[in-house]
Amino acid sequence: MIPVLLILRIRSEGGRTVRLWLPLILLWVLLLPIALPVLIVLCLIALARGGNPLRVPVAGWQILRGLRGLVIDIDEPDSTIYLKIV
Amino acid sequence: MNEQRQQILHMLAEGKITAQEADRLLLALQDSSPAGAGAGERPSGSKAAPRYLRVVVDEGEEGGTRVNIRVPLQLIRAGVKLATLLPESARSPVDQALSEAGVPFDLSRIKASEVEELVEFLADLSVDIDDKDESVKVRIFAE
Repeated sequence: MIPVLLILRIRSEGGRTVRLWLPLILLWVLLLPIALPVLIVLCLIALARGGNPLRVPVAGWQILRGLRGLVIDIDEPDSTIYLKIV
Repeated sequence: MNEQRQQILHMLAEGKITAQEADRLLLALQDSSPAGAGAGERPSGSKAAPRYLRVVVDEGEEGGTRVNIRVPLQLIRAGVKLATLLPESARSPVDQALSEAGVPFDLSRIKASEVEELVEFLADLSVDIDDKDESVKVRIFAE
């Protein structure tokens, strides 16, 4: 299943914290209209370079699916960055 | 002879890895096997397949830097596959840089089965660095 939610928390040096809950599912819906032309262009580029055009969408899809579960949490004394993809 | 051991020897026979690399992999395999099992043997079905690669860095001291990264193995698998799609012009500098860093790796030669092998070996990876002088602990493992 593709990621549906991105949680981002950034605490900057001044102590200011930004919290973001981004519903990726909405982003995918918004990106869908441009995804198809981009995919076609990428396939054509792969074809022109002698590669297998089908591998591009497959690899893209696998990367998208693989993003689910990614956690990056870096905590420094004066700043923090936390990213979680659910 | 267990399956992983056989794979390493097979890769050596095919010339995909050097004798030194095979030696290192066999040693790592031996080290990762549980104490009760024989050399390189792993009890089947005793451990669930790991899904994530974890990198944990802890400076220890109060207010020190802490890093906690969890990367899905699926993402690594897809990333390696994507690397094989790189055009020749982009691949050559990467291969060259890897060679200079002591990793003679040809991205164009990676096959789907080898990617699976790579991730399988990664699942057995466990690196523990405990620097007492700097009070830094680094752990890299699969879970």
